Amino acid sequence: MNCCNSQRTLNDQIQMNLGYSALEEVKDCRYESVTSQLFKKQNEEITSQLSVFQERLIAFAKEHNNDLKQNPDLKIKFLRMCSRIGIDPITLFDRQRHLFDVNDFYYEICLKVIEICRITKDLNGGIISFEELLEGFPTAKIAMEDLEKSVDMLQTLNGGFDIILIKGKKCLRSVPTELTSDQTKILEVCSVLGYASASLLRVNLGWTQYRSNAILEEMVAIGLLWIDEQAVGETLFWDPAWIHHSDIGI
Amino acid sequence: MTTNLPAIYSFPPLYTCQPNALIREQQLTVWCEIIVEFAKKERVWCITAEGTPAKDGGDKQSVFRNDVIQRSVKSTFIEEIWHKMIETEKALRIDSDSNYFILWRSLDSWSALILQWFESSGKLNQVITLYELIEGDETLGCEFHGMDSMLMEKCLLRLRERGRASLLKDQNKVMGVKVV
Amino acid sequence: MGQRGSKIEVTKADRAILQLKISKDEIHKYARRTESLIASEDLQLRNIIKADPKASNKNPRARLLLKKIHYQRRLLEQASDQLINLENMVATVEFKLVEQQFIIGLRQGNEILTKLNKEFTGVDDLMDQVQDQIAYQDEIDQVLSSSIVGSYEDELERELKQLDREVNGSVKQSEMPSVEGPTKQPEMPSVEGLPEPQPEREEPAVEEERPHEAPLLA
Repeated sequence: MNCCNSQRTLNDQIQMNLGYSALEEVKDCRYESVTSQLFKKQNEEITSQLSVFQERLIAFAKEHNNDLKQNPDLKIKFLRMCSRIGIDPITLFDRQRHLFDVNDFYYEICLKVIEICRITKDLNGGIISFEELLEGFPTAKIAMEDLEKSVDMLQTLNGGFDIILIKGKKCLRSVPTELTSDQTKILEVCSVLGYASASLLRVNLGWTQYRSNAILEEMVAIGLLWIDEQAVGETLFWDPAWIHHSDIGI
Repeated sequence: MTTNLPAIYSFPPLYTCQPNALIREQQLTVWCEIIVEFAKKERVWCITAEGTPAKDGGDKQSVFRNDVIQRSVKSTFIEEIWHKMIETEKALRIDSDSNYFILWRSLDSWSALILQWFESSGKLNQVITLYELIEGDETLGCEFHGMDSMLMEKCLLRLRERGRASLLKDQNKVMGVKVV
Repeated sequence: MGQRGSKIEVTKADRAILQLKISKDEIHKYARRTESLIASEDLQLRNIIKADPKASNKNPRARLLLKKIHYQRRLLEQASDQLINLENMVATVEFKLVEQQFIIGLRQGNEILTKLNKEFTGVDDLMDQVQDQIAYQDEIDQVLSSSIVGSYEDELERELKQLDREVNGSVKQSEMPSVEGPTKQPEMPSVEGLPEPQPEREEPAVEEERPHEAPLLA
């Protein structure tokens, strides 16, 4: 503040330094940086406190495993506390030690599966392969068998989750509309090159141009396929599952 | 160009405007991410409407063209993408030449970063030229080093609005700044 | 110039520094350009020599390039000297500004100091008066205390004698009128319990008590 006043007269200077207005000016200039520093500090402190708290919670869960198993009320409260401070309940489970009731582990996976389906629905039209599902989990502790078992449990909900087989590969369908056999066949064709087209369908399935286009366009409309109008010769229809394949050959 | 970008950049239908509205919304979001990512990795501050970096001559490749899979975005769809960029404040249209600044940080975030440099390197209350800020040896390694001077001016204007900076002009052009 | 809405003052010195720094930036830019020019000409020269190792001595283009490089190098050196000069200048100006600030501070402090000092005139009289008052107060104190102490001491002595007569009833003790009551009293039970060594005990007691009296009399 001080060195910019070199041109001021002495009186100004005294007023500057002693008057209330000086305080105001200093306030203006310094408040912002002080508050931001303060917030940053608080943030850091809270983060570190939280992480310590999280560790403790996990330790607590391991120690009082039996209590948690036998007392559902305690268990619910505990899990609610975990989720409130940002611990993914899945990280709390340990299959070897059967932390909590072992079924809870699968319930948590179910929840996560539903979440992944919901997030990716707008990209893939609601059909997702099991491999892709598995990639969405925060820890590597989840094995494919766990996932499959959980999805089996999901199906008992009758909530519109369905396992479909596309060329022997398991996929989960999270939209309520049932796939027609024609649509399934197209997805099967897609699983080879990533895309389908009228000519591919004619060669492989013997479909007419009219039938192919009608079904393909319908699948684009419901978001199961992405349209690609720049391919040489004809329009291609891509399966969004191939978004994550980096080795696309045209 | 494709190496640092997300895998979906190699997904051919990304370059065709999708008819399903929900999917198109996702597609636009993906494009915004790609442009921001591209600008950040290549340290490009300013991109032409056609998607090429504005400063390094005309031979640079457009972000909207992917020669590996031989696809490019049609101009009408490009417009839609820019619209989304502006809407989400990831880009800023430059009135003079209709290019776009790509904001992989918001203006406020940039100006805060610049202010931080002034504070931490003891440059408060001194006259610093824009050239020093952008090209000077003292800002080497700062994220804003090499920034487009017009964009820098916008950031400094934000600081002036907050009463922290005063811009000095020479021949009607902003040349320096004094930050307190 | 265009400082609406900004509270920060831009002084003449700031403008001067800006001009200095703009020139400095120009030289900086020039140095960078020249450096890259030298680098590219150096590359050309190397290519010529590589392409034609034998004739390169006579190749006029190679000679020209080398000359150009030398010339540019010299210019670059001059430029960097100028750059250092300008940087020194900026540093000096900035330091002068700080000095100016220092002077202003000093002047201001001095002024306030003189102002304050003015208020101290007549302080000698004041001090003298205060001194007098203190001295007077001391006198009063002394008078008061000596009169009180005198009568009080007499009373104490009388009481002690009476006590002594009551307890001992002997004439022996009459030799010790100056022994103070309060210090003597705690010893009394032990005196009673051991009547035989009484004379031995009392003599050191008398000696011990003398130094206590001295400050009281002073």
